Amino acid sequence: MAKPKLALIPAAQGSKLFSVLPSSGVGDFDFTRSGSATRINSQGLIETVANGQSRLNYPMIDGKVVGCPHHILEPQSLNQIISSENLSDSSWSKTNAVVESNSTISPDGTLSADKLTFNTSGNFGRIVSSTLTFVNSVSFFIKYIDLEYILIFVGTSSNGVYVNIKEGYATSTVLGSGLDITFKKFPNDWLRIEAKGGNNATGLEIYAANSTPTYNPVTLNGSFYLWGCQAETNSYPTSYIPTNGSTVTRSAETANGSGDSATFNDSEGVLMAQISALKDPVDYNNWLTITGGTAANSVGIVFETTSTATARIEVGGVLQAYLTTQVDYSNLIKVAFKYKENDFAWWVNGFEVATDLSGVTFPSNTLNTFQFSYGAGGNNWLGKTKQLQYYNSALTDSELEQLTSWTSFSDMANGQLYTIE
Amino acid sequence: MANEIYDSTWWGNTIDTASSIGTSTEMIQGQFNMDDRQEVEAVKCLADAIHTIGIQDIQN
Repeated sequence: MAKPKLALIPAAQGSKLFSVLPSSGVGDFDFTRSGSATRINSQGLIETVANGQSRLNYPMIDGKVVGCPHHILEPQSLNQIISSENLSDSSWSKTNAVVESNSTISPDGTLSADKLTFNTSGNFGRIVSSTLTFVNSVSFFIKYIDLEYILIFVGTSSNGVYVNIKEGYATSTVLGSGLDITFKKFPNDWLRIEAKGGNNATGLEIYAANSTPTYNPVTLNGSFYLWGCQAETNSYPTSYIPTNGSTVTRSAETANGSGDSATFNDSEGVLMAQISALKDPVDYNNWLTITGGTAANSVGIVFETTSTATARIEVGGVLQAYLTTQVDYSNLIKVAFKYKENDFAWWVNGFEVATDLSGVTFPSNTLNTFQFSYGAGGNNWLGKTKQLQYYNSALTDSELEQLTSWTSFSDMANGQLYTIE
Repeated sequence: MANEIYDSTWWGNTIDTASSIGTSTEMIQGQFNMDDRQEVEAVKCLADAIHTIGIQDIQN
């Protein structure tokens, strides 16, 4: 197999997404984000990344970092919770609940997590942030002490679900339409609970519950630690946005401008990527393209709103190949798009899923830039990138199979964040 | 457990795997040039990936 002309292996943070090949650095992507953001660092801790700096995010299985990092690109999002860590703040109303500030080490590794103790007698106990608008997803870090069940409830839409925070599962008992709950384990027995389905809610309410489960009337005494609360209009939870006295917006991220006309072959080549979207289906078509500055001349990989992963090539405004397959692209997948005159092929996870044996490629000096966006800009790619490779020649089927296959069972399992028992 | 594989000060893996990449100096140079542009955090991840690419290049 030829060497890739361009290779992005996420390994450094900075003002760019750094490509190791070409060695000159011409393959680096210009990165933008106004303001800071957070990531999961190599220790599994939440860490703030400065204004304009790209993020390396480390995958975790069962609360431990496993494997190499990926770059993450996220949309703009507002954390409406005014005080995401300080539960003593007046923006949180407490009923039969007492806060002990800075009681334990939080998921960012500092002594900043508050303890909540509920004491109820034939009534209910809760903590509420009620000044929210149009909330569709909520998330928070929680750590069990001796209160096993809680009710996560969002006001106005009145959706809720009872959750066991000791074992980390959602019960089948719901209120309203329920919530779509995901548990993510962090070091030191922290859980990040992410809930979708807020349906334009106006408040985040966390109740102490018994094992029935019910929240009112109950007589109980129990505690947990709570930190890093977040409420977003976004339909899915994104990375943690810390707040301290006012709401905070994390700006959208972009990465564009990799390569030049000498990097890309206009007549043939292969674009390979190991990537995932932030959700499936995406809210709009997410594009990854090599272009000449316009959509009319572009090689693209697209995650579409129809849950399909698509490879397409457009030359002079005429679509030459449109190859598509249904795949869960919320998991990291390995894809490769081969383009050559009358020879287009789309490979996904080791299989050739579609071909087109008719069509032309580009005139000389057409392709000159690689970007996480539509050919003409916009429709920015959002998601995780584990690697990108560009080959300036068409590869053989066996090479494409090798390039898009998992190298071992553990490689595949770790790539999909599966736990092997 | 220490996450020593992400140690940004240890380039031994790049050196250890250099011979398997044969004469492709660009693949070795690329790693050091990248570190010049921005300190590499996940050194072993980068070296391992380049090693894999190099092996593919030689095998095919």
